[in-house]
Amino acid sequence: MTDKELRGRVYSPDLDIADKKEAFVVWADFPGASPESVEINLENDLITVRGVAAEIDAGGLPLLYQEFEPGDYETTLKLSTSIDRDKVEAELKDGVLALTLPKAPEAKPKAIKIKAA
Amino acid sequence: MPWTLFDDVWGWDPAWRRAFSPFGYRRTTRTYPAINIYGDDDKLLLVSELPGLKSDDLEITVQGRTLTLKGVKNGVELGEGEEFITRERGRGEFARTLTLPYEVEPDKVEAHYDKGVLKITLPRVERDKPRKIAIKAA
Repeated sequence: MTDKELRGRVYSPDLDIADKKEAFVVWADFPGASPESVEINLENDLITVRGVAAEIDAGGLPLLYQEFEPGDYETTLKLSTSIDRDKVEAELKDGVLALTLPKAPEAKPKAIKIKAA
Repeated sequence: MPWTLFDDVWGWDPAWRRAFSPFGYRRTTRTYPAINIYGDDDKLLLVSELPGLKSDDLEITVQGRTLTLKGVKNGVELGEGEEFITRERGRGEFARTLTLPYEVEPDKVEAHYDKGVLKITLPRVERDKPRKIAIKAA
């Protein structure tokens, strides 16, 4: 099994999405995932982000009480052509994935200058 | 009209997105943060998923059998002219008080935060540990 293979339960994380003028940014909670375990796939107009969370190392202690089940993460978003696909960037910090999707030049707001008559 | 752009860019519909991941579970815990506890007669290990937390924003207190986790989950901050299209991730203050199965040594409690996962090791107080009693021969 590679470390990018999803096992067991797969969660669809809650997302924050912002329009930052030059780019769209997507944040997703991927607790327990390391950068090596995150895989981003662009296929046609779909972007799929997967992350594998590390197993919890309890040092052999038995589980006494459980409120969450550790699992992996996967989410799929539909993109339009107004994203500059070659410049998509991802950063993982403290279990939060930030995906930056730069807008293609034609999608950026432009100021239209009015010519003097 | 940002919503038009939004629809254009994302083909957005949360239900649609979920529909795309038919096996994608969503975490629906009533209490935040969710906690798992591992342990034996000598120590406990509390594990909690707290992604995006800064250690300054978390306060852990232990007294006898009572453990309190208190903190703030700060949301993403945007600059001027930037706006949220969707905001699903939880944010705000949280506090949880747990009663542990036995008394722990407050001075020996250790907490580690890595990759958004908090782990707290809680060793049991010596005097509270179970002892085997040898039966003297008559």
